Amino acid sequence: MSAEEDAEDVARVLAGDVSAFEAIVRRWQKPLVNLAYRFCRDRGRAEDMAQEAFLRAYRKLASWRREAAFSTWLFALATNLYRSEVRRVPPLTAPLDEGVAALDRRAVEPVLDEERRDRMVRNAVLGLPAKYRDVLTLFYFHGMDIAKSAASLGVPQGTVKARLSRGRDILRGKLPSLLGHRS
Amino acid sequence: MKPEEFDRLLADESDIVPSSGFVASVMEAVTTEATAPPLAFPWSRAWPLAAGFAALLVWLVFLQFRPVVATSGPDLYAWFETIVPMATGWVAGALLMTIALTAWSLRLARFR
Repeated sequence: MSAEEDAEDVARVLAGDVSAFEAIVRRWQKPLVNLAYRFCRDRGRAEDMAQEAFLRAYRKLASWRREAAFSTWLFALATNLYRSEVRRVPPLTAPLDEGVAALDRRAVEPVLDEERRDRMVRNAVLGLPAKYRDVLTLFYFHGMDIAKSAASLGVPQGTVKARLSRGRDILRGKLPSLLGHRS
Repeated sequence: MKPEEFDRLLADESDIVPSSGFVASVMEAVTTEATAPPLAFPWSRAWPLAAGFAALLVWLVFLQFRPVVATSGPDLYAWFETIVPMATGWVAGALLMTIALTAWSLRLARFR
């Protein structure tokens, strides 16, 4: 994905060529939908959230100062929106403790396949308190890059590291049998 | 579970693919947004308030410059004489603020 292409398309949109925004949508649709999906775990809702993020980006395009990469600006804007959305309407997941109880019951049966167990652990991330959930979601979405996660959240890198560590500890504490089973 | 295993579990999640109509849907919303006329200022609701404020201002100015008339009973004019300069300042300030807020709202509506 080229930063120059982004800059050119943004300039065209700002000059009045609305159709140039389509190239931006095509370039960034997959990352934005996937990021939304990691926040809500619902395909349809993820697309709705991503559409709203693009619409908001279109409205605020003039506020991109070009000091940061367009992608950094776009992810920060989308992350902000997604966090507000899941705060407004939380994703349909069981509270972490209930999920743990169900997982622990299944953990004694060796029939729980790996894929299903992985999915359950990912869903358990959504049950974390928001500040840990957001950091874990972004850290793994951004390919474990602390700097990008911090930029998306608008917090210092040290905060990301601390929340990441605490979030993992909470998950390990809540899912001991499940996570222990894998080691 | 080792930290690297935990990382793998959360990082190796396969991506979902946006539906085929996603781009068209976004562009439709963007085009609608771009072509929508700016929100019209609700003059029909605003003018009675503006007229009320103007009448109040005229009344206060009138009171300030009204000739002294001998009256029986409490000296209301003396009271008004004290209060009017203060009130005029407040009303003028409120009017200025209203004009500023109206201009700001119109500007916001134009850029939406």
